[in-house]
Amino acid sequence: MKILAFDSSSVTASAAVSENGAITAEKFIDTGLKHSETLMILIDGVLKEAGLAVRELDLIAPVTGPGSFTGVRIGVSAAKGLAQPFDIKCMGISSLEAIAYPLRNEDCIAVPVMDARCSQVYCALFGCGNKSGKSERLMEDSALHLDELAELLNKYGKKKVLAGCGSKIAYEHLENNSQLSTLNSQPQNAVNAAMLAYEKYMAGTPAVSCFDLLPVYLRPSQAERLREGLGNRG
Amino acid sequence: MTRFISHSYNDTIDFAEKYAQNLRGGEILAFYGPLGAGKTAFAAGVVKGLENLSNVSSPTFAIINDYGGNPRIYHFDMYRIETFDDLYSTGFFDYLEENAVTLIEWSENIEKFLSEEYNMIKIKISYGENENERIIEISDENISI
Repeated sequence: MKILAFDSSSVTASAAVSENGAITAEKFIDTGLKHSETLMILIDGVLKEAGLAVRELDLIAPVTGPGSFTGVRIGVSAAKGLAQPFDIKCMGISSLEAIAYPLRNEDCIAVPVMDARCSQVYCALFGCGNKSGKSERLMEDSALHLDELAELLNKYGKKKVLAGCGSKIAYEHLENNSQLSTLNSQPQNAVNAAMLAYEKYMAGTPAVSCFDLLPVYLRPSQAERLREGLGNRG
Repeated sequence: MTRFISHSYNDTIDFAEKYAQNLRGGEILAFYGPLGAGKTAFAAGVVKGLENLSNVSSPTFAIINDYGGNPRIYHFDMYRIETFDDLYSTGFFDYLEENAVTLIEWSENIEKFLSEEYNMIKIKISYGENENERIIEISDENISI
């Protein structure tokens, strides 16, 4: 089972190849949002290091959002372009689920957070530290105002670990709300998407044709309404 | 605030060209002013002042023009942008990560989405008493012309 995964949904970009659930090659860069110029180079690099041609892949697993609008589009387009000529199956991976993945064995609630601008964040909740070794999704990927996130986290007594590119702004905001949470500042990495894709595939999650692979743009309409309620502060 | 009176289209361009010497990249110039005030003229002057040879026109339909250069210059026209979703789907927030000089016409439309954390300079252009007279107000104290 050969999987190519990549993540261009935030400021960093990364690509990884796995074979039968073990990572065989990975590349990561943090040089700003130039994914249209760098992503294909990363993909080419990991495939060469893994000694694979595109046609040999069994699954392409791009991170399909939520996140940077341009980044998500680049990732999904790249996956479609690579998959179509060889009819390779695709599986979109949630950026937030991938961020939470490294925390799965820690006894905590993982709170992956990405900056969605204007005091909004993309976030989700995962219960971690289960005996099964798999985390349990407690909330769908959502776009929330930081105040809403704070309110939501108040309902959970367990240790909360914030992770992802929006974790710092969320952490600072939550501190003001005197909430207990710790920070995991590991950047996003396609390695997590590759591992998740393998686990999901093995658990029976269906892969899709490249034509059915879709980007995930969360609409922060609720957050926008809240902000408008605060009045025009410009 | 810095205030300047322009007496003609070319006057606005010349002033903007000199003003551009203050820009290093990473600034957002948010233009305010009615149709015909000279926002595009000011933008053209800034582009010229940054030694960029691009032809400048309002991207009313394209929404964004990329003039390249060093510093890179992006020119937005927010005339048709009404909601946060509109703005998000232009990739606006991604462009802000690039340390470019960003010129925004019709900033009125997106004002509530511009965070104070950005290095934002407001440029308000209004009609003066005479036909070709314009009053240009820049929300930046420390500029040399």
